[in-house]
Amino acid sequence: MTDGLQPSGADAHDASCRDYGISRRNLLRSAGVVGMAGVATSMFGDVLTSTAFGATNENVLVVLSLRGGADGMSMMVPHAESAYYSARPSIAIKKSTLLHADNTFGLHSSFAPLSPMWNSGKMAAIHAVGLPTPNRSHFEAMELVEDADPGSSERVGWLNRMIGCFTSNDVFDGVQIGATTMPTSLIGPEPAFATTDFGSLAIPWRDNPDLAPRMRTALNTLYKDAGTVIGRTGQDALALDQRAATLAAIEKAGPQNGASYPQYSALGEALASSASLIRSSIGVRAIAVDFGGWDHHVDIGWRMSNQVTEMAKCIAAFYADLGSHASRVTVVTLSEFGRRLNQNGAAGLDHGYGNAVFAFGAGVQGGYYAKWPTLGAGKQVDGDLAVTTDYRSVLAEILESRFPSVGVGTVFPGLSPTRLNFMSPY
Amino acid sequence: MTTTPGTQPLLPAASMHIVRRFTYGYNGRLAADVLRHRDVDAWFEAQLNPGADPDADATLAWFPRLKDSPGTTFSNSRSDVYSTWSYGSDLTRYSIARRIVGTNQLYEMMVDFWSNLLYIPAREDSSFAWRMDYDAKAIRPHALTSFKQLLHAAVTHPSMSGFLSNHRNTKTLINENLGRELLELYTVGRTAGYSEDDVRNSARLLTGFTVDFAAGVAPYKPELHHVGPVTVMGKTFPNGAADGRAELKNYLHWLAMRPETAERIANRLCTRFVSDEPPRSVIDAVKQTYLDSDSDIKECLRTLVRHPAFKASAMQKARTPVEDVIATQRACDITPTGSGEDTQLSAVQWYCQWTGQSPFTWPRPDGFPEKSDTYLSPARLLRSWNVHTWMANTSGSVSKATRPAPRNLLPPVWPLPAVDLIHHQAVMMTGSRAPADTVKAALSLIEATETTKFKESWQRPISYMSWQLTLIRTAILNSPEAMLR
Repeated sequence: MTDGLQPSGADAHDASCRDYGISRRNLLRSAGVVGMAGVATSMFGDVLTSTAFGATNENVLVVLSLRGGADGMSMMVPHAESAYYSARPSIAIKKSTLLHADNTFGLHSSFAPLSPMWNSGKMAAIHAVGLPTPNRSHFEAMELVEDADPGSSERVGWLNRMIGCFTSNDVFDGVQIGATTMPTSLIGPEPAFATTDFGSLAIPWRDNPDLAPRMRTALNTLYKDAGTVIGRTGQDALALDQRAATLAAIEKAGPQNGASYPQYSALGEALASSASLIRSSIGVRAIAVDFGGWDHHVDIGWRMSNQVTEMAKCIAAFYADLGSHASRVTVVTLSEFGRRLNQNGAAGLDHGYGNAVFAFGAGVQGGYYAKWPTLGAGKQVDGDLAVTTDYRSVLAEILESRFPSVGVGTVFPGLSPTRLNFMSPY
Repeated sequence: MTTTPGTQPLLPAASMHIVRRFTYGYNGRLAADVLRHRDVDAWFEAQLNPGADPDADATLAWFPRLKDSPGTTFSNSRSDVYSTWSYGSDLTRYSIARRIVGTNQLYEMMVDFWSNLLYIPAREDSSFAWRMDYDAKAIRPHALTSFKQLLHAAVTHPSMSGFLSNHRNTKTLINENLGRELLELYTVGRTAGYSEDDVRNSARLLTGFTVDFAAGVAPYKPELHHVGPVTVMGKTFPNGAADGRAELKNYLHWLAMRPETAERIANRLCTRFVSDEPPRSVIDAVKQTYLDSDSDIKECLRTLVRHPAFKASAMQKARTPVEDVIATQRACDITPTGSGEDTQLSAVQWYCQWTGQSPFTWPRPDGFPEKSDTYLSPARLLRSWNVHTWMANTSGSVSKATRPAPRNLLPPVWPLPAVDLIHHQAVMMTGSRAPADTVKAALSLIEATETTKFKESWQRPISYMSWQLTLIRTAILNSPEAMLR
């Protein structure tokens, strides 16, 4: 089977990847809850998580999407730039408050929970990263970032292409988990709790030895025709029912190694669930987590502090939770665009361009990285930070370091990656 | 051969298609309403011109807090008298209740449709205090008027100002948020090719609106309005008056009547009411009607429903989670009579959330996805099957709701063939006879065969008969056909 793709560095694995004959529609994409063979999609509050499973326990990539356009310059602060302070009279981050500052950059103080990772060289901060050309629409920029296939009309995301290279035909079927508070009317005298559990993913009466087989027979009859709008999903649901109980038991064990996620954090719940799945050795290969709330048009000051605090605490807890499995897991943050250099009328920032990316964990060589364009008047793009590193190059470097079997040319067609060397070579 | 009463559909297949698309689901009351009209077209026309809906309107009394003024709402939330969460929850339940009990089903569907396009979540901090007012004054009065009028009412509403930061957008400090989404989400769309200057100029025309949340007022302040000519997508607005509201109206009407806007509205209508990938021909037809009729919503719906592509699209849409929960509720004829914690209505709200789509909980300004296959994950299906099974239960009590007594669900025929009972239940719940696989599945659940006949004694004890009915109804609700529209 050929599809005309000519991946650079094609090898046997790439060939098998192209032969993997499943329909890859918007698998790990942001909008909604598309379930597919090999991918589990979960909602934790507003946080959408998709998990791709392969047959083996190898390295894991976690993509944390900071939805809304996170302001990189509030997180990785270019404190040596006078233009930064003059453009943001009331919202610039003061140099004196920065963590781990060098001559050019410093981190927002809310990153404090990640200082141990920074000090041990497991956190990289990379600036002036973004799309090759500006796009200030949330939705369109998000799609471009996630497709990473300029000029192609096939709406297939890069992460999809990556997991297409992993996923065996022994698939774990799609899961969507909803987190919500159960009304006491439904659970009786037990305390209400937020469920993100696989335990609820079961056919009706699964635990009833008399009724469950009858129910399964009935559903098999009803969904035996995969050709209807809903038939295939029904068959996948029946397969999921058979697997979810095992996962429920794993998830129920909760965080390990004394890891403590922030209370009431949907991101914390998503990462705790992800950590348990990774620890359980059922073949997690890639996880995409949507973490919204970064569209700071208004009063960015306290909002940014809160967001970064939550993110930092969650990532720190995640790595503690992973324990010895941490050496398999790399986290990278992505956002659809950075924000304007100049503050707006509401102590906030409108949509901009160049942004900061953070990478954590396995393979990361910590520190600051940037081909820093400066904020000089002639260096800006429409009044925004310029982009000097294509975000695909950042991702390609992670793939080359951690996932050597994945053809970078397959995942990012047409890209000539440049290296920043924030990842240790494979 | 005599047929068991209630085993033949009341409405022909073509009528059922229209009914499934423009209502929240079949039940006996709906069938009676359709049959009151000359034919389904007359019913559809009546739905386009809805009169009072006392059953739906009465549900507002279940939520006394929704009558709080924006100022009171805001201060109650700040002082923990009644939380933002609770106000949002009330609005969600109120909307669900109207969809369950209302007679003006098409109207409720269009309120849902426009609320999802001109979308404001119910619990967002800078918009929640005015959110009920937005529902009552911007969306509902304009849901069947013209998009021009609707757009103006929505964009100039204080809830929208708060949600998309327009209350902080002034001539000296432009905030682009609403100006951008107005172009991208509500009207012409990104493919129209506007520039960043267009976005800023769009925001300039929107200056002058303020919201004082604590006082519960939203005064227009001409001194904050940008005065002077601005150009958006090549069209220059003189914008000479200190009070820019008249010019804003010109701008919004111009945007509404752009062909790009017509295309996007037509596409979205066809995606909701025809299929996830609507044929070009029906989009073009609706678009043309939109342009010819000054964006008249009823005219667009008439064109859509008369188009061959609509007629050919029966059962091509899967119900979204919330559509499925409400259709199930209606199929089981469970009618809420009030709200509150631990009530049947609060359970319904939770079913929506649990299966992935509770009204007004989508966090972003683009609204829930309109394509129904977005919601077809295996996990969602497992959960929907469980919800169907719970709602199929014909025994036990429900809090602040009514449900038919099991004995009233039976045809008065003894001996009663099991297959007839299955068709009888299917016709009652879905308007159609049970497909062959559903009959088979129901028979296997009740451990009966095609020749099984129930004697009159079967209905005693009532608990056993209720349980058998529950199993039959579970099979009907869990069939693919019951989840399609």
